[in-house]
Amino acid sequence: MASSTTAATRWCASAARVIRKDGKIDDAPAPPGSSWVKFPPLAVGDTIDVEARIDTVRVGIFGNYFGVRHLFHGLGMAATRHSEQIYVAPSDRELHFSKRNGAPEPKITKDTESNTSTYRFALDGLKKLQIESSMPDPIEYSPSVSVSTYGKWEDFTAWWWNLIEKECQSSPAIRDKVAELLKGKTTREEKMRAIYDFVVTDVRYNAWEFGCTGYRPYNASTIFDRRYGDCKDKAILIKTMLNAAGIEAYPVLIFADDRRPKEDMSLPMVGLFNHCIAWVPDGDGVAPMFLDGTARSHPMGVLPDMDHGARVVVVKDGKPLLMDVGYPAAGANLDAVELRLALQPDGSAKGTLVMRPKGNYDVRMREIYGSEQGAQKENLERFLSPHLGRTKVSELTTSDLTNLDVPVEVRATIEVEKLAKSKAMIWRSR
Amino acid sequence: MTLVKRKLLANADEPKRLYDLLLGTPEADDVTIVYSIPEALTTRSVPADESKDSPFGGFAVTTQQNGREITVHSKSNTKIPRVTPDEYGAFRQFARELDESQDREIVLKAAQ
Repeated sequence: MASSTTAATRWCASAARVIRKDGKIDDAPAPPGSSWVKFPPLAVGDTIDVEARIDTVRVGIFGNYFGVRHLFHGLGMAATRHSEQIYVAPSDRELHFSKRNGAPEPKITKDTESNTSTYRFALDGLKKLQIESSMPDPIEYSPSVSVSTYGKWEDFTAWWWNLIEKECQSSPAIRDKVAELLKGKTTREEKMRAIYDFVVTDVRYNAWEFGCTGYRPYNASTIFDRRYGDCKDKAILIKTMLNAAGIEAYPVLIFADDRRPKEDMSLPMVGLFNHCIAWVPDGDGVAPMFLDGTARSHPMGVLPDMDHGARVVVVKDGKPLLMDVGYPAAGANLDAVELRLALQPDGSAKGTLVMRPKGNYDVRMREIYGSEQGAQKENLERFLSPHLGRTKVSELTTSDLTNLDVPVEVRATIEVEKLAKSKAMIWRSR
Repeated sequence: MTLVKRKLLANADEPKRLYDLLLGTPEADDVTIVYSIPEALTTRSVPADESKDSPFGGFAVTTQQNGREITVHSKSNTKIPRVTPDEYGAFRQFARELDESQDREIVLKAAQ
């Protein structure tokens, strides 16, 4: 029913029951201390009633930070008769709240004996949230309350920077590699590209969870030596290597999402992020740029779709810069194809195909035709046949798909079994 | 007439919406297909040129015939990552027109 953003918490259902349509009540077993509830078989019209509690049980990597965002709707955005969130904290611990989509004001009570304050948010009669295809995450529409012990981004980023600053130290090996990569590179863009290419292709991506203990990156020297890391490791390595090349760069906290909702960044919280990239300010005629070190098939300047549209926090020496990643113009993601087909009297066709994709199409081609060299023809046939009819690829050449600095080009010689259909001596070409 | 049809209307099958429709990152395509027609066939009809530009995106299809070669050049793009419920009706109309523009045929007939 609820989730916490830290690993140092315990979720426990304290009571659960099913209220039947006719008013009969069936208890649902929720063993003491358990984090699950076993409901009896449910029927249309039943109401589920669950009371659960989340306790912070130990100080984790986040210190005494607490933050959580909770929707008032029940499971599956179901119609919700009554939803209540209660936050209990020491009275001298300041909590910050952000309410969205009609979430109520809290009722606050203080208990001087236990020195605790209780914040109670209650909402009744929520209608089921209609689910539509390709809609944003329900967080954009469902009433919700966010709570954080951080009220200002300055405090949040100072805390995170304090956690990671010492991991951004360079080493002789890093400096040597940077010198090697920059040999013959004179412009800022060339230098950035050489370092970016190294991190995305020569340092293997290895995902650890970004939340919880996954928040602290390894030391840049360790990441460099063992040649693998997760998103924040790669962001830290990009920053450290660019800095060694005399180029400013900063880590960026971002929520990667292909179905991005409008984000509420009014309250600093760990849970607002699941990914880390880097940002390079403008200089020497090169526009400011976000760099995603996990984007193995993406040339510099092309971000994964999951990064686009995000409201992010650039952590500049501990200070926050809130920015928008933005979307590329349509032409930046271009599927460019030239096809020459010689139609034969029997409706078949022979010809040539040239594809010169850009942006995310470039990336898709690298992933499809670069990863399985032996299956290139088969993959192209599989791609073309639904559009042209059964197609055979007799020759295929590509640009160097492993070199991110070389634009993708795919050339093929093809035969289409039935491009045109005949009906009463009239041919209709696709 | 294009290699890969965008089929934008498939993303907008509900007649009305309560919430925004996410289209994803803006994209474009630019496809040129040159058909060489054999002596045994002649051209009966080619699609009329058409184009449209809208806040959601645009498309253009042109066809040129030069001797036994027919060149079809088609372009389309989407410009925005999401459509609001207020815009949705106009978006569906645009999506329908774009899809139809990609579904034209060249008709040939046997040479006499």
